Amino acid sequence: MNLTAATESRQLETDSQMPVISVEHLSHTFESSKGPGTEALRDLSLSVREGCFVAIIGPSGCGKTTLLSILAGLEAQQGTGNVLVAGERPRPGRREIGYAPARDSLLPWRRALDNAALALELQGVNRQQRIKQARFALQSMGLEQFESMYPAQLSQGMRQRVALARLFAGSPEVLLLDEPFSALDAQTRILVQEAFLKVWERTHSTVLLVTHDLGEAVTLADEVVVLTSRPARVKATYTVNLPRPRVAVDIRLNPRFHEVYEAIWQALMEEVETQESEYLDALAGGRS
Amino acid sequence: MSQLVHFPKTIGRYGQPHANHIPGMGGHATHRLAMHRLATLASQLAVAVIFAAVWQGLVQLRLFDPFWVSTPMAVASAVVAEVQSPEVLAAIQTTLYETVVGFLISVVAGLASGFILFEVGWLYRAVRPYIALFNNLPRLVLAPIFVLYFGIGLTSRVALVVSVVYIIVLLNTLAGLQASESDHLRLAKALGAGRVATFTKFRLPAATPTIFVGLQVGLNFALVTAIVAEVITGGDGLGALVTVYGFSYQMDRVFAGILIMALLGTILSVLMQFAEDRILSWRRYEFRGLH
Repeated sequence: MNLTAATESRQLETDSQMPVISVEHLSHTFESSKGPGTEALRDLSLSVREGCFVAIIGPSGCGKTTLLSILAGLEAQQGTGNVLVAGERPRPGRREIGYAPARDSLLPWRRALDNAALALELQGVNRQQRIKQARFALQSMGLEQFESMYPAQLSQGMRQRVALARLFAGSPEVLLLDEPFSALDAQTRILVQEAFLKVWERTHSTVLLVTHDLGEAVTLADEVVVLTSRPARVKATYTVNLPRPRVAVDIRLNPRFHEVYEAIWQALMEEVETQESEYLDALAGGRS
Repeated sequence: MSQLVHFPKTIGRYGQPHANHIPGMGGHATHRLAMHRLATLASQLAVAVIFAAVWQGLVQLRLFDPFWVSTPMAVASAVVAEVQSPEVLAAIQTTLYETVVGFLISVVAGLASGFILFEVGWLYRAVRPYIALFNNLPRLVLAPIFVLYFGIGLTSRVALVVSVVYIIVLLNTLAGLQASESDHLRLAKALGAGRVATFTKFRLPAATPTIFVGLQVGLNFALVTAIVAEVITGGDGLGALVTVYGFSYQMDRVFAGILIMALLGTILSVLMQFAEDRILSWRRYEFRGLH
């Protein structure tokens, strides 16, 4: 089964449609006061079509979070290449873009409702309107009973769902997710993924998810992009043709889940091993 | 934590029923807590009684001379007499005035300059060595200078209080503002928070607990400095009064005065704690796991 070929044919069909996220020949080097700096990304190209859920996976430290930070406008581009998100160059604080960091990043002095309303508040939405939207988002995460609780009163899974409510409250068209489920234990993670899927499959916003968890990528995404070890390039793109709506708990029982998982696993492992051996070489080099 | 959070009965799909909660246990637990509090109070009272008994015993055995150490009974009756004397009440008023006015000036100035120095990096770098220098200066030696400038009245004592407390508030404000979590600041940036919003919605709330540390310590030092200033300058106030008692060997009244000072300090501290608990109500849940 040639998954890469399937992707290409799908892309041909929709070529006329403008991608919502487009990255063209992006290179990025972290400057360093001593030495030549660290090359994080090299000639990386990818695009995400409207309503499509793309997961980016790669060895840890390969530069996938750097890529997402550039897209979210958190990291200034240092190098060549073109990046467009919803028709504009990356810039933080756009209404149409939602960003979810690794870990929940809830503000401990705000109750769940005010945490869920934070993004809207910073966009200048008036109090009545943002409370209404935040309350709706909390409801869709099953947290309506917990809106007046502080983060310290909530479990890890609930905290992450408040963070997702904050993400969804403004109904952004594009979601940039930086390993938002990575801090959770395995069981909680699946429950939170399911809560996420439920809302997302209703809104169908365009998603770029960065993750190091292949199971998560296959569970959630339409396409999985495997990055190479640093400096990151796109190694391969895989289509996950599993039916929607998906149920995070059940989808792992689907035999196609495992077909896709294993195909990507091979590619991913090659890069993890390359990264490891490069790391060991660097260590040995440093010692001699 | 799960044992301490009370979940409502219907909590939707993801909520788990409270595993450790046994209906009917509430009353029993409350009763046990009350007993525990009573026992604590009794033990605290016992410490005071034992201290007074040892004191009285040492005097009775002629190991200590009551001329120098007085007796618990004499001190207790002196406290009762002192708090009814108009002279002492006036002294308390003076000391409180110096403490509170000096403290408030320090808080306003310390917070304002802390905010400005935090936001204006070059200014902070320029004055930082001088803040350190001033902080390491034993500021009580400024008392004679303030007396020269402002006379021996209230103003010089308030000035001394400000010179001590201002830097405490300033340094804690700066430390608090620098203590924001990088995750929160990254989120602020991603959500497009400008300089003002980053300060008011992220930096300042995160700084508030540390600022309150400065306020607590500052208030304590405000009272101590006001009293020491009165000892130095003489005139009115509790410090001056106790000094006069000491010079005339009225040891019961000296100890009574010291006790009143300690009580004043405790009352101020409790009031500040009350304000802190109101403003930082969210913190109650942060450390619950430790109790």
